[in-house]
Amino acid sequence: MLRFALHRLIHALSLALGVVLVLFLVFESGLTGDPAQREAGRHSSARTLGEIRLRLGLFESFEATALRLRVEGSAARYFLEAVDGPALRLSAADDSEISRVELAGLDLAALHNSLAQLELPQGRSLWTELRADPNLPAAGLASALHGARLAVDHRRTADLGWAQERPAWRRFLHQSAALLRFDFGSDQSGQAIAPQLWQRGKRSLALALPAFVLGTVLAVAAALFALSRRGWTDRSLAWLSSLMISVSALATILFLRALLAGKLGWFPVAGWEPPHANYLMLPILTWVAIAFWPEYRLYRALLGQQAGGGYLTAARARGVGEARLMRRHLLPNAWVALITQATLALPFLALGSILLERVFAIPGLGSMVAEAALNSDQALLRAVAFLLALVYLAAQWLGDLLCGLADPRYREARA
Amino acid sequence: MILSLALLLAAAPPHEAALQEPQGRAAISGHDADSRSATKGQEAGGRNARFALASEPTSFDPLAAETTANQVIQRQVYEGLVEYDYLARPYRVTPLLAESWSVAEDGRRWRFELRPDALFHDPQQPPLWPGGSRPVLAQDVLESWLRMADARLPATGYWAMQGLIEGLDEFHRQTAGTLAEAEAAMTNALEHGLPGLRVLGPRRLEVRLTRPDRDFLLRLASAYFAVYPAETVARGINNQPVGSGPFLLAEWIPRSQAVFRAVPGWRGQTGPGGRALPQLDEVRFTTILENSTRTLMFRRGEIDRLPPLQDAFHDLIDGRQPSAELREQGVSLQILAPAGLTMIAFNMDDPQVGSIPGDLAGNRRRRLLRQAIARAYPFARWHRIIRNDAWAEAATTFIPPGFSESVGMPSSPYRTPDLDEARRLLAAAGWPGGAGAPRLQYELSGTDPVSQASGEIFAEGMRAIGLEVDLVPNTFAALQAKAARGEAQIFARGWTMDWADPANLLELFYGPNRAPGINRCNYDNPVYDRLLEALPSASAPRRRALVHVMLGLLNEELPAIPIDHRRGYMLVQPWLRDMEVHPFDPFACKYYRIER
Amino acid sequence: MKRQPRGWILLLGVWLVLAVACQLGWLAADWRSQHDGAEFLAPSAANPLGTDHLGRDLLAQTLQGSRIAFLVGSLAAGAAVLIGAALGLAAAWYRGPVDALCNWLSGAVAAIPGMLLVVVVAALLGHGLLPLCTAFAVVSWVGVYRLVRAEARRLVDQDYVLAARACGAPPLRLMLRHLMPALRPMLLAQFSLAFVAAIKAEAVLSFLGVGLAEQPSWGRMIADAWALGDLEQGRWWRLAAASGALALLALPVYRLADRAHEQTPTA
Repeated sequence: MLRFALHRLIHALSLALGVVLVLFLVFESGLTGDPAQREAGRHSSARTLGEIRLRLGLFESFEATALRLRVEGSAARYFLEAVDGPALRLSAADDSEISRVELAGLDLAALHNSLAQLELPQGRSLWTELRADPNLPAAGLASALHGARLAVDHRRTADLGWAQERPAWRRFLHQSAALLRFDFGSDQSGQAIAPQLWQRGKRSLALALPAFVLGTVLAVAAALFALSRRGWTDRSLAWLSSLMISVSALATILFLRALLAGKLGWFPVAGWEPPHANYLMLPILTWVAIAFWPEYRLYRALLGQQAGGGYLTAARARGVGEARLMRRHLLPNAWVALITQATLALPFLALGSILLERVFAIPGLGSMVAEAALNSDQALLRAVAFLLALVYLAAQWLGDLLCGLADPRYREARA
Repeated sequence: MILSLALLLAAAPPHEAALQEPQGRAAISGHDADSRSATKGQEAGGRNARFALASEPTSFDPLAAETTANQVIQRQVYEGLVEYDYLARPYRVTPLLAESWSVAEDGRRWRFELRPDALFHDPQQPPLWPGGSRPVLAQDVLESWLRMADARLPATGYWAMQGLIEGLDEFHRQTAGTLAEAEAAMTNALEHGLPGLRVLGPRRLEVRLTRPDRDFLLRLASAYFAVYPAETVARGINNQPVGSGPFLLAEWIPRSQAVFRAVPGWRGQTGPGGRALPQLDEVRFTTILENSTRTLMFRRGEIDRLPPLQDAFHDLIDGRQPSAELREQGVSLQILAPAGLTMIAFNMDDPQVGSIPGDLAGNRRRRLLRQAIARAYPFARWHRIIRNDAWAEAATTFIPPGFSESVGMPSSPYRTPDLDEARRLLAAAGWPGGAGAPRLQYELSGTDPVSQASGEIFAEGMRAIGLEVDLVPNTFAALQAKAARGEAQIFARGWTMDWADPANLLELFYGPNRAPGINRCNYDNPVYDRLLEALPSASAPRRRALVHVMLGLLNEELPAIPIDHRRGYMLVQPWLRDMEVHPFDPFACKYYRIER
Repeated sequence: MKRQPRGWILLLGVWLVLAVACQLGWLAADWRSQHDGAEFLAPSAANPLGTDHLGRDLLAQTLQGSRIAFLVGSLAAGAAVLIGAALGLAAAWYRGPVDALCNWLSGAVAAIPGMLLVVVVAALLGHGLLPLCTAFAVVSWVGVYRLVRAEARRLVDQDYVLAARACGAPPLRLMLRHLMPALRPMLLAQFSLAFVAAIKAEAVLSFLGVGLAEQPSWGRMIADAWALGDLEQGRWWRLAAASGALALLALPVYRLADRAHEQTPTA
């Protein structure tokens, strides 16, 4: 058993690494654009971009200089500065001028051209010196140089910066290490992320847990009811359930809110104040109204499979009543399947419902995710995704252990 | 100035408020007991105010005082040397932390005396100081302002003091140098002050300006000049603010909620009617992003005030008063004079619509194109769809009426819609009937229907003269980033003045302020810049003349099309008393009263 | 119960025809045209579903919405089924390290809450049809993969496949000739469920502000109705039109899936 537990733990950990990899690919593969630029938001001076890149771990180091930019060539060190003209001036370490080029324009392409014209001693160009990629995209503020990134704000010459870019594999290591240490850093507004996750997660659970339990109990009860009646009841419930899941959750939420909070005034419209239960009732009710039908279908199918088992037929043949059949025979046997289903759903509850939290202004993880998505706050999104994935894996592991404990065959199948 | 940065189309004043209905309160069992214990024995019912914010407050760091939401929450805790006189119109400032001040004949040297009874209050346990408070000293003012000017920190409000105080820009440059230089500059400044910023005594401060500036005190009343103790910075000023204001931060959920309680035994200030301030025990700000939710909350009495917006304006407002239904409930309406500008901004760096140095012929064509666009813009339709035919005043030029500079100001000829004239201008530009004209890129300012509608209205208007428009979807943040990078071509932009001076709007076209600064049109005209620089020290009549010349330049060049000046409509619940909406201090909660 | 599901298939067919007609510009091509002074009109003979805040006809928008729905649904579900089936077949066929790798990848993706991942990818990629479909496919291939892999493993061990394999037929041909026919009903069911799920996801994402912009999608209509307080103002028609259309498209799919399920002997 211990071996099994250990084996499953290693499996879970390997999946956790997979999660880190998936998140890295999603956020930083370049498929989704430049992460720093995406996040820069309101202030995108070169300095800010550089600092964001430093915070996101894209840069090893970033040094903002007011006017001068230090260029580490292969042989010597130079200084590049923007001077009136406008022009770029390249000087040696002792401030003697090596080269000067007028800036033809203020767009990035012109800047690139000017940079290319700057000449170093022995006729080498700065570009060659830096072994730059000649096919640089002209978009964005930062131009990728080979092994280094030059962050140039062409609008304000006072905001030049010099940075050392971190190679992708080191970025990945850096990020994985940070995530696995639960070092989530801070969000766009400079707030530490970790305490927010905990605080907000609690509120999401306060919404999700009662809603989930209530919804599940109702759905299982309805499924049992349908099974015991069969025939007409079962069919009309099946029909009704497919009708109800066809209705968009949005419409249900809006309708219930307009009716129960707006028209009838039974519940507060939105907000979060003590006593919080007042502000949770309508969201919970709405949750149950939405989640009941898909869950009913799920449990009806699940229990239906169990009901197909021979022991039920045998019991029925013995003349056991339907209600007793459900209670004494079906339910105990379906228990394991139900619990497994529930365990796996639990981690997702920490997110609450993004929609419901957003609509009812409950300050949980879900509303935070909705806002972070609008603002492209990647650090926040990544932290939430990683944490919930971990919780999911942990729940899965525990579920594995429970099943393994109960059933040796399970252990063999999974080992 | 960056009060409500950019596009306030949807979220008109991005602040709004809410209160709770008495019945609603009683229906909540046990709530009365709760609020009693929470407010330490105040009378039952609670003198609690509830407001909704339409955008997210993120931080209590005054360096992040750029957004309206941050300013609102920060102003509850921090104080500056002066504040706006709550009731006086026209707007003027009164003493706050400064008890008195004097200004030398040259108009440049100012001496401030701080009040001896002002204390910083720390609500945290354990507090920073024994007893949880300590006096506010002149050194704190110095340190707070220096921090804003420290180039190593991401300050969003440095522009408000840039070029204003002697030696401050030099200090800013020094802190932008190497780490050692920056530290040396900071140490030196903390110890000896700057040439224009000196501590003369524990409570005496001298400020020397680079020029006489009639806006100086108005600037001081803005949130950027807040005073706070340096001790709180190290502890984490983002979340644990310590200020001298009448409220303490009691609960704080970043981005979602901020709850303030009155400071027990605050130094005392006498408000209107001789009442001791503050009059509220608790103020609760909750972020509610959707207009329709806020409207519903106001109707249900869950929030205390509401700027009615597109979603329900005609339901809530009947002419210049609340609807009959709201009047019956005792709801009142306040209408504010316009103090801002909404415009359709052009990026002047853009090769399709802007002005490229050296390309004289092309620039002429593109200016004609901008003029044609302005002539074709369906202002009436905008006014109906976006402003409900009510809550804004058509702009004739770039500053609102009602200021001394506005008297006799030149209006832009292109602001009057005229399709034939638009077609003629377009033909003169070389694109008769729009043939061969570039496709215009209109950047949407959000994903909400109002932002999208503004794009649709623009596109429909341009189609009428044969111009094709691509509407580019953005979130609000994405458009701001684009505009800051100078990559947006045409976009709607709203600007609320930071202080009671229309020149604040003219700074939006000042060359050195180009993107990522506040000049997102990237308008660059040396003549205009020189005129603006001459403004602060000009005499009143000369000042007006200068402003009119500048407006003349803008009217003809059209780096933006002036659309309208929003008028703030504010619905107020009957139990919220003494609430006068102030455009430059939108939530002066210490003056508010709750009476049920 | 024994009734043939012709009605549902017919309904789906009608939707498809409408969507294609919109795509070809034969129908509702003028959905963008604004009518000054005709804002927020209730349903009438001229505008059977009323008008929106810009005075645009809601019937035209609803019809256009079916085009968007089919685009989003088929692209997203198609991509999800394609990825899931390809990896599932590969895993079942090659076993060993390929199987382990695919399992590992799918396990990692499945561990991240799906709704969260969709929102994240859609937000990072920006507005538009392709980002939306990518986001959905990235998340929902996993379910398809698991089912295909399990079923394909069972099939691969069947005699006829083993025999074909022993004859040295190329794997790709074997998979397509022998496995695909057996998998087809399941893939079809998965496709149709993913199709509806993608359409619903579009609505949610548009509502959250990271979905489609400037497209007459049903999600946009619902989001607009919400933001402009339609229900509170008693203007029920926009919400009703969009969610009604969505339900009328989803219902046949669910009913057909149910029937298929009932007829499968394993169920």
